[in-house]
Amino acid sequence: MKLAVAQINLTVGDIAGNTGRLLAAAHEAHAAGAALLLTPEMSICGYPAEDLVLRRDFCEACAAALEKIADEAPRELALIVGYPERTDDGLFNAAALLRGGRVEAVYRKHHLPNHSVFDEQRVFDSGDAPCVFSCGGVNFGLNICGDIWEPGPATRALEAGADWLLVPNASPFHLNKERERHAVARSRLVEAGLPIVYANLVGGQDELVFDGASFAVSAGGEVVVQCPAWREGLFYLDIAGNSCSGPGMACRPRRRRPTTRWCWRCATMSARTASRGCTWDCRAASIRR
Amino acid sequence: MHLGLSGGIDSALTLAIAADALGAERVHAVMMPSDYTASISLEDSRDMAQRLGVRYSEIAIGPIFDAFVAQLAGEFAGRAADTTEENLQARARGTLLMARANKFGSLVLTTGNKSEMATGYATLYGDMAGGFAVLKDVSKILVYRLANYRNSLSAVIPQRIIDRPPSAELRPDQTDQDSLPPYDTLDAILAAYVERDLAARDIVALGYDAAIVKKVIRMVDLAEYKRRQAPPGPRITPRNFGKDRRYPITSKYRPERELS
Repeated sequence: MKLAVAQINLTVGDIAGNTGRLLAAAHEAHAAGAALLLTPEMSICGYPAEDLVLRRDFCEACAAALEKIADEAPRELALIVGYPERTDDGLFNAAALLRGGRVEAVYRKHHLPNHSVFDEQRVFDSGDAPCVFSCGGVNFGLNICGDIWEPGPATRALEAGADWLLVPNASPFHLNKERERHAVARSRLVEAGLPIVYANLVGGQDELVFDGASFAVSAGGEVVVQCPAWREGLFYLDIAGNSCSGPGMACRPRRRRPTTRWCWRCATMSARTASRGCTWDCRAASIRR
Repeated sequence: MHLGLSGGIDSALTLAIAADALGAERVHAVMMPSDYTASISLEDSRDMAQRLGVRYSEIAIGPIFDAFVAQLAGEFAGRAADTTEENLQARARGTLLMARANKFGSLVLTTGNKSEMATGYATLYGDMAGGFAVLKDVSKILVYRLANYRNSLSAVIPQRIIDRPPSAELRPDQTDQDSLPPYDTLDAILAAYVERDLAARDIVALGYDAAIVKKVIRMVDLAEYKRRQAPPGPRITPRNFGKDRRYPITSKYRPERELS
């Protein structure tokens, strides 16, 4: 079966714009023959939305967007999108499986990171149920970002019948982060034996910069697919049993990590994002040379 | 976006990043010379703006600074000039950049690096005034690496800017090393204290002079009130100021005291 990873730039608070981007990705992935599209963590509202998720109106707008995406995405495509789920049980960092015009299942993030730049326990409650679904003859389990940085959720997915782990992420860049992500994916492999598809956001948000660099780790522990860093795109993986391949030059594992160049990419991407936050026109200025 | 271009490496690198990020036509550099601005600072700024094709203007701060000093003369009677007058120059520049931001709806990029943000070697409401700090998590040593990297693609930063000793040019013949240890020493101590949370004695055990370690730690701790008022900037290292390293402003904890 063919799986698409949407490594795209989603903007915090731009619920309508993100909905449009997710629907465009869904139609493109479907047209390319994908049966399943994986999008980043909190893809409907952007990450981190911080205390915006404490607002009832914000969560309601996200819920309405979720219904709209379910309704307007191709019916044959299974689609994973992230959003803040507000229920009587609490407020969750959630990922929904959309298929056949409806919300088929919802997974709630279990491990909420609350260290370094993360404050998720401040706003979210922790979920505890696994979510496994079948698509194209393969059983996929969902974990969200921080879930794979600690033991537990991967094993629960395995026990619920998963063959593969799908992980939507909003994992911010810092130097050598890619190495840490690969190591974490391998430690989950040791724990649960499940191969992993890791989809990451790309773009800047205030202090955080998301570098993309989505990847897949096979059951043998190899990084078999490596998507480019700092670039948006839909990347396709062919999954057969527990093996996986990513066709094309863009998806070869990297031998060396170019740290200075990546610092440059990080700085320019953040400056580009900051420029979105204001309106201006330099050409109006009178220039004296 | 616009920024103050000084002829130094930090503003040169920030300008190159902004031009690469947005395109030269959306970036404006403002050179704001004073009597202490070396002529090569002016030459190199003009040269760099031309190389990148960004918009460029010059606004002298002399008359503004003189007016500040004249109006404060009564208040400051009998007191010698000190860093107060140095900071007034930076604040005149900050005010001009913010006026431009207002008038044109443009965003001010500040140009300070992580080593400066760590030690407080920056002027609040002066060079810290702005909306986004691109180099906030980039140490001075990494500033040089990034400048050389960018120039390896195409020579946009005049080599003289990279080669000359860093100076704030706020008084005659000033260099950063009048106030700070050499940057390779400083950045190593900062990495140990800020990024690795090492104890003062453990930093000394790495081979650094105890007096310098004490001074750097004290500078870092005293500058927390400035950092809390600084613009955000992208996290590049595993420990950035802002969302990550969060310290109290008011604190009696003095980790450098174990060295006395």
